Amino acid sequence: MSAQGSTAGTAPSTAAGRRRLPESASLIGVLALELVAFSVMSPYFLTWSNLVDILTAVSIVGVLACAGTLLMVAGQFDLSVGSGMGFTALMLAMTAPSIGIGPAVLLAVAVGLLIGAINGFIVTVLRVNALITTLGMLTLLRGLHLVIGHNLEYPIPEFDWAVVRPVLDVPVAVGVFIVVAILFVVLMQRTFYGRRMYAIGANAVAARLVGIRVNPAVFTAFVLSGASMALAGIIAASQLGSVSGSTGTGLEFTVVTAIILGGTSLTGGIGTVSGTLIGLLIVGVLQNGLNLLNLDSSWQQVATGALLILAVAFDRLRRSGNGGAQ
Amino acid sequence: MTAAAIARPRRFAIPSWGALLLVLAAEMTMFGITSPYFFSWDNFVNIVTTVSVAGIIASAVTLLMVGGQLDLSVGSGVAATSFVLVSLSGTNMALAIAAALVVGLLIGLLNGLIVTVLRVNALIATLGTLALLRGLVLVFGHSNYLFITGFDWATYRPFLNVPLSVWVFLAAAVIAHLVMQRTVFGRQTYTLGSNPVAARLVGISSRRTVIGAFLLSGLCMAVAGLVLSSQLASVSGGTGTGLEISVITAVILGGTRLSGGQGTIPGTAIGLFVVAVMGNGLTLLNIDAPWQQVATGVLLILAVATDQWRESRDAA
Repeated sequence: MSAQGSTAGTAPSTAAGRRRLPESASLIGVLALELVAFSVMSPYFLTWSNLVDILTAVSIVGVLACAGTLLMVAGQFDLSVGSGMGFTALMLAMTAPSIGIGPAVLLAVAVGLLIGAINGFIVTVLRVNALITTLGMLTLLRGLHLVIGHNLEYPIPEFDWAVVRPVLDVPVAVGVFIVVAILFVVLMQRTFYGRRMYAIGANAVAARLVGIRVNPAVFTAFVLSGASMALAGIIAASQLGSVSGSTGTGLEFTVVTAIILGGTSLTGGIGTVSGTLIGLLIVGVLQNGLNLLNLDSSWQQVATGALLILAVAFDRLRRSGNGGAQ
Repeated sequence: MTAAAIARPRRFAIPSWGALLLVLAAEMTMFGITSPYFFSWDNFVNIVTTVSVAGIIASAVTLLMVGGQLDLSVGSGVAATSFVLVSLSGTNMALAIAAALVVGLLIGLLNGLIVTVLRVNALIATLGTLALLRGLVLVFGHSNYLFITGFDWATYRPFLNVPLSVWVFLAAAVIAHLVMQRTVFGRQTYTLGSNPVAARLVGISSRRTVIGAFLLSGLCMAVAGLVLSSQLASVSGGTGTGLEISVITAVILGGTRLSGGQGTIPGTAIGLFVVAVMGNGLTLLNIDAPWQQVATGVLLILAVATDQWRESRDAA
């Protein structure tokens, strides 16, 4: 935000502030409302271990959502993250017994990078729309996963590093997620690369005309998304202790929901990792709270869907009420 | 008919099917050679039967996507309408069918209102209703199987050994084709999809057109729900899961632009068959079902990449 030179701190009436600050402000309002409501309704909600539980539950989605935010800011999309995460985890679990954990982890990372590179190649060189490309990749990887894994369950013994709780009773998985989030905040707000992605997403033609090499930048973002799939796959393999044919199924839905809730524009150019984190927490807190209230987990799906529509609709109405472009 | 001329530059539309027809012909030749069972009437009927549910929905989704919209809630919508039908079927079948149709239309209306009145992007709106409807089905159905008896009409084969589900699909496709090509509403949808601003300037109500398209999509969800619950004689929490992916794959393969303004029902039908023939052929060759998923993914990317390449060549 600061790198765009906005003076958003004061009031929603300033031109730049109209788009950015109130966005996260209204989301923080929703999150605060959830926190208050659940604290009142459940005595267990506001405890350290429950807050850690919430963070642990969103850590895998969070890792994927950071790279997803970068992509969506650049006007791109990655629906293959769920399948990609499952596939890299499968590679890890299947090869670990024969080649050892270390090489298997390296292989998983290589596979993740390769998936990202293929997505990036198809989008930038073959010029296929990112939604279609990654929809194709989603189907393809899930198919390969079942072909290679035969829908069996592959256990990974002695790989529980992500559930170890070294400090403050917080598992390593959460630590990894926080590190990734900080890296992406810095990347997007403080580096030329990150600022270029905003320019590309806001207006790809203008970005090209001012000398930004659009294709390499977009390609790199897809590779980063591939790397985060591998990281998420490694965390998931460690948390679950095994990989099956359905690992990671439907994860892209949660990731996209969190990013959009966090205020990232589907058409690119607008969005921050901090917004995405708030979006993640809104969903994570809602699910945790409904769990504590002993509500059927299916209600969480209903609530998430309704929340997504309401949050985006509210944002739309607010923007048009302020006389914004849309 | 100037709208038609703008909306459908022939240079793009015709080759985009042409290439796809070649893919289909190549598939059929290959499977015809590799399997003696492939070229038989029964097998063709099987292929069309497997696409009938996706095809009914794809007919409406083609119209929606031509109008620049999208509907991801179709799979959950099919589950919701099937669930209403099966739950009420014990009391009165006619009432249950009517209720399912009404629920389908209500889902379409809800999507349409969210998109037009609340002005939420169609992708987000229907992603939301996807989750919402699936959640509701699981909440009320408790993820159990519910059975329906005496409702096997879709599997009857009254004529040419072709089941009724296929006839329903054909009727839906023909009606959607006529609506898109021969009615003011259909032509307005093309105009709206290719240039919403121009559409507004020539006096087309985008709100009415978009809501109309979503209502059709909702109606098709209900009809597909009726067919599917008749075929399966049951409904569960997983009914229709992932259907939106097959539908959108077929529609995009068939040459409909994601950005709207271009696309036809015959193209979508060919897109459906390219996927279905491949699945059928690979099954006849005893190849694992997951390979079909791999092949579908590759096919989707390749088909769109070819299309993109041809278009950029034409533009140059």
